[in-house]
Amino acid sequence: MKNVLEVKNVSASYKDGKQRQEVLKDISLEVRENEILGLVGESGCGKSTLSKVILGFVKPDCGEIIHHTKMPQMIFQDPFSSLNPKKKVSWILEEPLRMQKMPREQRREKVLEMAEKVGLSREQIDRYPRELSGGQRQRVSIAASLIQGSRFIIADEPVSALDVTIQRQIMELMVKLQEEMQLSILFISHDLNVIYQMCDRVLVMKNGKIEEQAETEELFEHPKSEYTKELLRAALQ
Amino acid sequence: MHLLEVKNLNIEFYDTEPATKVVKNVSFSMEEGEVLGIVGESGSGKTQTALSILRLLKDHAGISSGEICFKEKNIADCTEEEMNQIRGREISMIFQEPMTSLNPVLTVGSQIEEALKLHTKDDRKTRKEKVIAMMREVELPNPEELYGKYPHQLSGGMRQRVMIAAALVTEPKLLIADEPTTALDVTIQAQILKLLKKMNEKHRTAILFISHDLGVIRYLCDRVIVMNEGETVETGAITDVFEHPQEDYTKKLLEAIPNRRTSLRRRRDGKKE
Repeated sequence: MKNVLEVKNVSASYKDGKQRQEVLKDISLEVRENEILGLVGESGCGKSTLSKVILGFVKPDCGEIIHHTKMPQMIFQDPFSSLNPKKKVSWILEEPLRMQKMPREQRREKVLEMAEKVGLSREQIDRYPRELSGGQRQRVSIAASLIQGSRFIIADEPVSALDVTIQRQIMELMVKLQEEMQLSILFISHDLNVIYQMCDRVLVMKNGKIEEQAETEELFEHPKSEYTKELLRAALQ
Repeated sequence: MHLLEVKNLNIEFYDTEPATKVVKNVSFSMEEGEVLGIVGESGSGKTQTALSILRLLKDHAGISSGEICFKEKNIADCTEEEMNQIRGREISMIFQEPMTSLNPVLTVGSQIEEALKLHTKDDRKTRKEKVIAMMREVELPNPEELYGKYPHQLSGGMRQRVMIAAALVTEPKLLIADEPTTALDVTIQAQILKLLKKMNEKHRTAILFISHDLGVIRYLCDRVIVMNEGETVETGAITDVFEHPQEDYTKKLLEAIPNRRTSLRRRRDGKKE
């Protein structure tokens, strides 16, 4: 199986006063084509910093990041803050296409096609982000991440702020899109049960290090690290 | 005698025309020492129900009909002064984000002490002893040292322990907890839930626990009320509701909870078989 991303021995730190705080310590991982890779850990473990390093927003102190495809697109926990409040959804979705100088007709067609894929109606994409529910807004940000043809997505807690029934819909949508479009998804979450249901493989992070990585069933049934065991015990079922 | 009885409660928001009904005909009662959960999604009316018990609804919201009785006294008949005696003395409340409910410029110790100052005639020395004892009980490390610290010097889990200490220092009969573990990491959440359970068992403090998280409710509560769009969908003992849900909405809610039994990935299911 081919990789879409390889991270090799990456360390990163932030300046904290006069000291440097090491937040990623010798991280190595790969994201494979056509898989959902889960990244689980508690606050402060470095999972969000890792996604920033992958996207080039934070420079690592050492190590290598090799992209085998286009730069991944991001989806965040709160889509509201990443959607322009003054523009209608259709305008937001069209924007990257407009920058590519795609003709208007074609743009509209593409937006409608993508809207249908993520389960948004024509009427809904002619609204402003504030006029949509949390679940609908997350559909918009998923559509926005895919519209330029990117097939690698980093999703940072994309369902954590949603109610359970809506959460389930978005999880099902992401799985459906992964299968239809053969996406690679790096799925960051603190919720082990969500990770279990979504992911093919899982990385467990703690204090900037990868504690354990394994195929999902293996990790949940035969966790090796003490920390993974503790997380599994703490997560209510 | 019920500790708390809510009868045909209706709450409306008056900032729209016509007013929006956010709680519709909700009735339930609680006994001493009981842990009752209210579970529902955003907009289900669970928080408004909880706030109305302490008469803490915002200005644009109000009880349009119904009764709330605490120890058989109708809360609507209480003067504001009587309410202040109930709040923090007989009924305490904790919230999701302890940072916003703790005062950033007061020390942890003085904030836990506040309720004692208001509600007891204890002298300074006794108060401090009680606060330190309470801090020990909620398992805050080095209480003597922590007493003089400020909220920003504490972790999220410790802040929530401070909130719990402040809420329970007066030994109230009822604790209303509105999503107290939602903002916490799972391992910390597990500790806080365990602590609440311990306090309930030790002091027989009744807990009205509000959450969107069915797993948390199942762990902690004796009984549960499922709410949706302002209405009670289903009420019952925890095991009954979770194992034999009667209503479609409850079933839908239970099926939606992320679990470790079924994967959404067909590929992996294939592998399993």
